[in-house]
Amino acid sequence: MYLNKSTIDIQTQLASYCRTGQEQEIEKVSQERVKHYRRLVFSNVKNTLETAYPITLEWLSDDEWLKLVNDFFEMHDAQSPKIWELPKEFMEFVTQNKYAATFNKPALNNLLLVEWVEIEVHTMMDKEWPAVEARGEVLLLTPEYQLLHLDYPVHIFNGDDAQDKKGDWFIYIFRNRETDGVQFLNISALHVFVLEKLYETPLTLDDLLPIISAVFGLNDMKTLQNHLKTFFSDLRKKGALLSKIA
Amino acid sequence: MGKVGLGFRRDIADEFLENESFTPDFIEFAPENWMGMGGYWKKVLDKAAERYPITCHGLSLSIGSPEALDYHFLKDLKQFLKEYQVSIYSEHLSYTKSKNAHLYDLLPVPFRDDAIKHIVSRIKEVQEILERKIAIENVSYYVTPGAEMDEATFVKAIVEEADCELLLDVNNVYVNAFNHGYDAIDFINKMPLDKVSYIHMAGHEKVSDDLIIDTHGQPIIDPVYELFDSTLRKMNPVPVLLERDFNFENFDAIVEEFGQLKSITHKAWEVNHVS
Ligand SMILES: [Fe+2]
Repeated sequence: MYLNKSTIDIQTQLASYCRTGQEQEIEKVSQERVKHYRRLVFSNVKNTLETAYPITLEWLSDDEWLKLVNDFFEMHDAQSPKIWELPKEFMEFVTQNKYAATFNKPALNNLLLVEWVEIEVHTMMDKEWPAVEARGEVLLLTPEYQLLHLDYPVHIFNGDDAQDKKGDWFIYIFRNRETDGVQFLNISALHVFVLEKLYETPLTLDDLLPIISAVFGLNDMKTLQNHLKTFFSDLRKKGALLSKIA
Repeated sequence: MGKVGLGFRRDIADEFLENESFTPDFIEFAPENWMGMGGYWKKVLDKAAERYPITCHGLSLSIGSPEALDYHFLKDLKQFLKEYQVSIYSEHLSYTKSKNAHLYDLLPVPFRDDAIKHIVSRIKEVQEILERKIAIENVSYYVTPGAEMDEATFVKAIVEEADCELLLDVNNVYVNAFNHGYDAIDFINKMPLDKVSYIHMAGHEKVSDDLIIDTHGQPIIDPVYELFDSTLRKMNPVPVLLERDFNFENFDAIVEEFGQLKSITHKAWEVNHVS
């Protein structure tokens, strides 16, 4: 290491001032001008987070939002060299540090998660199509997706209303292969199971039926088959199911 | 000769892909903003890459940081530069990481001897890892933390000792000369102009009587065009980039600005290189 301690200290002081906004004497640094660094650095981070979390921004009060951004930038050491990945670190920070309880907004973590996952599914690397055995009509799903289990339906209602509807909420978030747009689908626990099975191994509807019927104790095969056909035709319409339905 | 490019950004991606009356010679973007991304934006990037040669201007290398280089990032970067056949990879002579935290902006490095040695060794290391020369840019700065020499001495020493290339940002020279009270032409004359592989031009914003902020959001002003013109006449042709980060509403004006750069570039370098 060629750097002297005093040079390192100066660099550390300037960076720490930018993160906290707390003025400190730095050798040969004008107090008047250094303010621009704090302003530029902070507004860059704040804008990035506001673009990523527009719904959270609107739901929280200005003071709450500013507290989150300030605390995050001051206390969290940002790890990703890519600023567009910073919102993920923000979500994790807010969740781990229990701001949902501090603000008495229990749906906060779910809302941040949903807003982040929308970005994640939109930007995730293109995945290979699963290798499929050439037999029957296999149900092939779009490979860029996430399944979420929420306590509050923040994907359907605004934050305040969602908080009155605590329960088990499942969402299937996927990227449409043609439009590259991200779509949300509110689904049931049974659908989650079906999707998880198909993402493990693409199966035909005929393969799938006995498995579902055994796990969920549903013996009326005709009704189950119709139910699943409706589900898959919906998925097909929305661009999640890439293959035709048997 | 005299290739002129424009920064490729999401807000104006359509102009690059669909505007037939606007065809830059090349495009530049920050690798960090596109690396590891799939889906819609990857398709847009791939379309642009089919159409234009590419240069990359990095943001997060943090060549001036006290801490270790991010080797994982360098590995991904190397792959990315290869995949997109990037001709020039440049970075800022600044730091953006401190105490294991990214700040996502360019902080000024103390102009000191130990910082020169430190940065020179890091540039060499990066060049070895990437197996290519990198171009280092003179950045705009508003304070001079712990400075023990002037900027020209600092920049020149680093470029010469590291045996890297220089990305000369002419607007930054103008901004820094104004903010720190030195002579811009004198600064340019002190630079190792034979090491310049790339030039940046941009607009800025005067926020008070004695301070200009390098915003990349305004049109280039005449004195910066003049400094650009006189600089070109002292050196061999290299690619020139118009940096514009926001205020894209009037894209025609940007196209006009682009044309202006092209015409200055052609005039300056045709005269010089007729023989
Ligand atoms: Fe620049």
